[in-house]
Formats: sequence, C-alpha cells, structure tokens
Amino acid sequence: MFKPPVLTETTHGDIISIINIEYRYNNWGLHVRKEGVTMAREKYKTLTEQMFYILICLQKECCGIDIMEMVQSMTKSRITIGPGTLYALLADFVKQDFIRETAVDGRKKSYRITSLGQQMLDNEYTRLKSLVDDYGRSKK
Amino acid sequence: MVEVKNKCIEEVIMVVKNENKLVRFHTFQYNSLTSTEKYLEQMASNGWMLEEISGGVKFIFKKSEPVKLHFSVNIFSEGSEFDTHLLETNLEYIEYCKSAGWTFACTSGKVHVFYSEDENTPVIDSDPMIKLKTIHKIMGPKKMLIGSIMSAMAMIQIVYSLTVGLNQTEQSSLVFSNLVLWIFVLVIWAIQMIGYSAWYAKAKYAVKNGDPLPDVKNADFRGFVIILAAFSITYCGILCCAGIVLHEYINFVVIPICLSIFVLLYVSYKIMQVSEKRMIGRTGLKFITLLIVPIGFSSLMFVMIVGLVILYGAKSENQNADMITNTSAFKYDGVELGEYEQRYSERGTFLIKSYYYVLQGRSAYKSIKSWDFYVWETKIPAIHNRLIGEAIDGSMFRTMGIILNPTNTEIMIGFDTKDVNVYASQSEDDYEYLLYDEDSIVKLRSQTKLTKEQFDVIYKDIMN
Repeated sequence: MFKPPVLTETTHGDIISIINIEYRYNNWGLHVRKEGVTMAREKYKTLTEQMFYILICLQKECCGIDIMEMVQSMTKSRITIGPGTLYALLADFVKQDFIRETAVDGRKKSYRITSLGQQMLDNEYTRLKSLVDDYGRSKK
Repeated sequence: MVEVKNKCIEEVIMVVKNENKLVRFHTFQYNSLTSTEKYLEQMASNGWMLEEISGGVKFIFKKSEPVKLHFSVNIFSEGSEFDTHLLETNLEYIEYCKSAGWTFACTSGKVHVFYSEDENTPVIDSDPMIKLKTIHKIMGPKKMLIGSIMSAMAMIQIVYSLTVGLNQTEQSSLVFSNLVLWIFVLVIWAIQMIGYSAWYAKAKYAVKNGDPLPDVKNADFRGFVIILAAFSITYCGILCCAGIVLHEYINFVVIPICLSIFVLLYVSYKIMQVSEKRMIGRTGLKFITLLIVPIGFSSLMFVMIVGLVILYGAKSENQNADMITNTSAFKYDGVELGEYEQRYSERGTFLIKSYYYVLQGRSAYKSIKSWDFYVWETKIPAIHNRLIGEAIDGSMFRTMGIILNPTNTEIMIGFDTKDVNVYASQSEDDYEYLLYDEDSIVKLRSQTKLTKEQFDVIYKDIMN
C-alpha cells in the first residue's frame, strides 16, 4: 500500500522528507516504502576521505577556506583537499542539506553541519568502526 | 636545428605587430586540459606568459622572463560559456584557489587558468571522480545528442543518395559532393562519439583504480576535428536544404555560401571580442553572438535560397522555349519525316551525362506529333550495365525516363542495327524504343509505331 512520506524536521527547521525516503516498485507494481534513512545519492553511501574530513571540520562552525588547512593539520598532510574539490563538495553538501551556511563575510562563507549531515558522519563512523572491530577480532 | 629555426620564424611573424605580445590559436576540450597546461608551461618557460584567452581560441601571451611555472587549467562547473566577466561565484572560487597558493591568470567561460611557482601547491581538483562527473555533465549529453542527430541525418542522406537517388548522385557533381560531405559528417561525429565514449570508459576505470584521469591523445587534432565538424554542420545543412529545392542552380550560390560561413565566423568572433571587452554577460552580446547570429544567418540564407528558387523557377519554366536550337526539315535518304522544331535540355553532367530533347512536328504532318529522346552517356561500364539492367527490368523509380513495360518488351528483329541492341514496348498511347551501345543508352518515345526506314533514319541520326 502506498504510504505518504513522513515529514521529518531538522534542527534548523528544514523539511527533508523527500531525500530521506526511497520508493520502489514491488513485483505487483505497488509502491513499497523502504524504511530507514537512505542516502540521498548513491555517491554518499560511503563517504570519501575528503568528504569525511570536511564534515568532521564542520562539526564546529568554520569558514570554507579554512577547511583546507584544518584537514592538512588534522591529518598531518596525509589528506589534502584541493580548493576546486572543496568548493564543489561544499556547494553539493549545501544542496543536499548536509551542511548549511551560517555566516557570510564578503566572499568568506561559514558553514556548519546539519543533523542529517551529522547522521551521515555517524553512519560512516559506525561503518569504519565495524571494519576496525572486525579486523581486531580477526587478529585475536 | 631546422625546427628551432622554423619556430623562430613563426614567432617573428606572430610578434611583428607588437614585440611584447604573442597571439596563438589553441583549441581545447574539457577532457584535454592537461595538454593545455603543458602548452602554457612550455610557453612560460620560453618567456611568454598567458595574459588573456579571447573568444575561447585566441591565446594572448605577454613577453616576460623565462620562468618555470606550474599551470592548472580547471573547469568551474557553475561558470557559463556565456560569461564575459567574473561573477561573485567565480570570485569566490578563485578565492579558494588563491588561499591554496595558486595565482589566478585568466578565464574563458567555464575554464579558469591558475599558475604557481611552487611544485607542491595542492592540486585544485583533488578528487578525480568529481572532476570526471563535472566533465561528463558538460560534455557527455551535448556530444551524444548532437552526434546522434547528425549521424542519423547523415545516414539517411547517404542511404538515400546510394539507393533511390543514385542516378541523381551520378548525374550531378553537386549531389555527389553533398554525399561526400555527409560521409564526412558521419565520420567526424562517429569519431567524436566513439572517441569520447572510449575516453569516458577509460577515465571511469582509472578513477576506480585511484589513477588520475587519462589525457586525450592528439588533443590539438581533435580540436581541429571539432572545428571541421562545426563547419560541416553549417555547410551540409545549407547545402542540403538548398540542393533539394534548387537542384543544379545551387552551383551559383555554393561558393558565396562557403565564403559567407567564413565571414559569419569572423563576425561572430569579433562580436564576442567586443562583448568580452565591454563585459556584456550571459544575457548580453555574447549570448546573441553564440545563439542568435547563427540562427539569423541560417534564416537569411533560407530567404536567399527561396528568392533564388523563385527567380530561377520562373526562368526554368521558359527553359524549353529558350532551348530551341533549330528548325529544320527532318529528311534522310529520301525518307521525309516532316518539319520539326528541336528542343534540347541538359540534365546531368557528371559521371552520367544525360540530356533530353524533343522533336516536335510543326504541323500535324503524317500524324506524328512528337518524339522524345532521353539520352544517357557514361564511360563507366558498371554504371552503364546497371542502367541497362534497370531499363530492361523496368525499375522505374531509379531510372526516371527509361521506362519500358517489361511484359510487352521484345527485341526488335529486322532493324539494321549491327552493334546496337534495340528493345521496344508499347503502352497505351506511346511506343517506346530502347537503344544502347557501349557508351550510351537512348530511349525514344513516339506516338506512332515507327517503320524500319523511319527507325533507321532516327538511329543513324542519334547514334552517329
């Protein structure tokens, strides 16, 4: 049976129902609702290292440009985010409602993670942790 | 050594106007920007620093000290090809790149050029997957859509020209050149589509394996192919439309059309330059240049062609009357056939020479009203044999005029025609005779049945 989408409210009040729910057809052509949080887009099913670190940085409000330096110092230059990639990812994250703009100072824009973005980050952490745990168990 | 010398001469020619400026035409595609980076690095090491990209192809360099620089040519996906000056989003993007250590050089539409002296400056597009998606989003649909439409049009034209319209193709150099052009269009777009698909598949595989995006080989050549493709689209479109309605008269307009395309490109380029200088952006002059000018140009051409059709159409109606070559009594060896007007018109002049003429009685003398001659001449045995075969088996749609009724066709016996084969058939009103020898095929349509003597007279007159 077709069920209308459940509207969920984020911390800052944006409605994000559509991107959270995926509809599929079953064998009889009926709508089947897939429960739980599904990724808005296939590419965010697993986060790349660059995406992961951008979201980590944005757990605290910060300016987009500063993220490059923060990631570099956080990872001791293991990960470098190119300015073009950073710009594209930030724009995409805003579009997908993973982060939101908090302040604009000239051309400097500050961002902060949304609850959806935080959920993504937590999911990724859980996924990575389970990998590490599995590895640890295999060593015992 | 010779190469160096040539290069020097080339550069001297280029800088003759202004010693401090060098202009080079360089084409690039979104998936071959690495080769542009290498080109700019080489120019900088030769003491020429990029100052401006004008009109998307004109690279203007400024004289500087030879310096080893690293260039990064990037696509800014939010930019537009219609941009003539930097918008706030562009400036924000440039700010990001500057903070990473890059210096902004110039921009051309979506493409932004940066350079840095430090080899270790972070790569601007550090995620190859995002870069690939950006390139594919810009290039893929456009290339595939235009390529598919052009290939389909070319296929229809080629198949038509080689089947139903084969005789026209062989009769007219214009139709033949049209066929060659469409083959050219098909080849260009097939190369484009296959080339791009192969590159995309390769790039996807490389990204999956964590390798950088592969560069397009022969990028300059590919750029040249794209320019050729653009030319061929315009040329074929105009030629095709005009060829349908104008037939051979198009020969009078083909050369002006070809020349006018160059004029159009030059005018468009100049307008683009002006719009860039005056910073008239997305809705301004550059937009008009890139969209309205070609549409306006095509419309103008269409009006021109329609005008010519009307002009020549009026002329062609009176064509037969103009073609009267002589008025003579048609007599041979004492057999008098009457006094005739002869009218003549040429149809094909290429691989098949074909012409048509009518002998029409000036009075109802001997009850013969008119004889129509359709003559085909060709030196190519394959075409000759095919035409005869079609004439005999009655494939009328191909041969237009050599139409016999195969059920009623018989070889005429008793005519004194040593090396000539003669077939005859009778339809409701007409008697039709087909004569052919090594080079020519003649169909004669008469409204009366010819006697042996009459036929001999005609045969000797037309075959000798």
